[in-house]
Amino acid sequence: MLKEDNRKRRKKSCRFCADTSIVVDYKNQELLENFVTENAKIVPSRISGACAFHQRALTTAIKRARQIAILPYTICEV
Amino acid sequence: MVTYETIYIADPNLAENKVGEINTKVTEIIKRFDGKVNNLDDWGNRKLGYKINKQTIGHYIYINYSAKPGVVSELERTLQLRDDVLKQMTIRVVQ
Repeated sequence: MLKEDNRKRRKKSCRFCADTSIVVDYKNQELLENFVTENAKIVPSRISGACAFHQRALTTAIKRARQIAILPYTICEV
Repeated sequence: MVTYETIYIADPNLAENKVGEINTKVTEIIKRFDGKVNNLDDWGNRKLGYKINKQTIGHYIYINYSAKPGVVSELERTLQLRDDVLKQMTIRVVQ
């Protein structure tokens, strides 16, 4: 028998859908920093809560920001 | 006419008039392709996400322009030839 999941999970909502005034832009460093981990990896949508459309936009924006050195590719520990 | 935006990172130790010289050169190229500069923004010195040519700081310049498509290859070639430009990126703006 399947064990019932009693933990209460709050449904995450996409913050870009909730507030349409926020535009995902690769030039906005402060915004994009919220969507990368401390090792500069892209946060998955199951954690970021972004919908598929905006997660795709975020991924492109972060990759563009990395190209022009607004964001790092990785936090290197040498 | 297509709208593009280009960001290039100049050497942070460059004199202010040298940066202006690059900007005029870029505007000239855009003009040659019947283009129009919509926005030229100097972001000043910013910390880089990673080292480029052993530099940790870069002088960012952002240009938004519309011109004929041939402009991109010409602009990128010109910027690549310069030693005082560390990095550059051009993207097409989708409305």
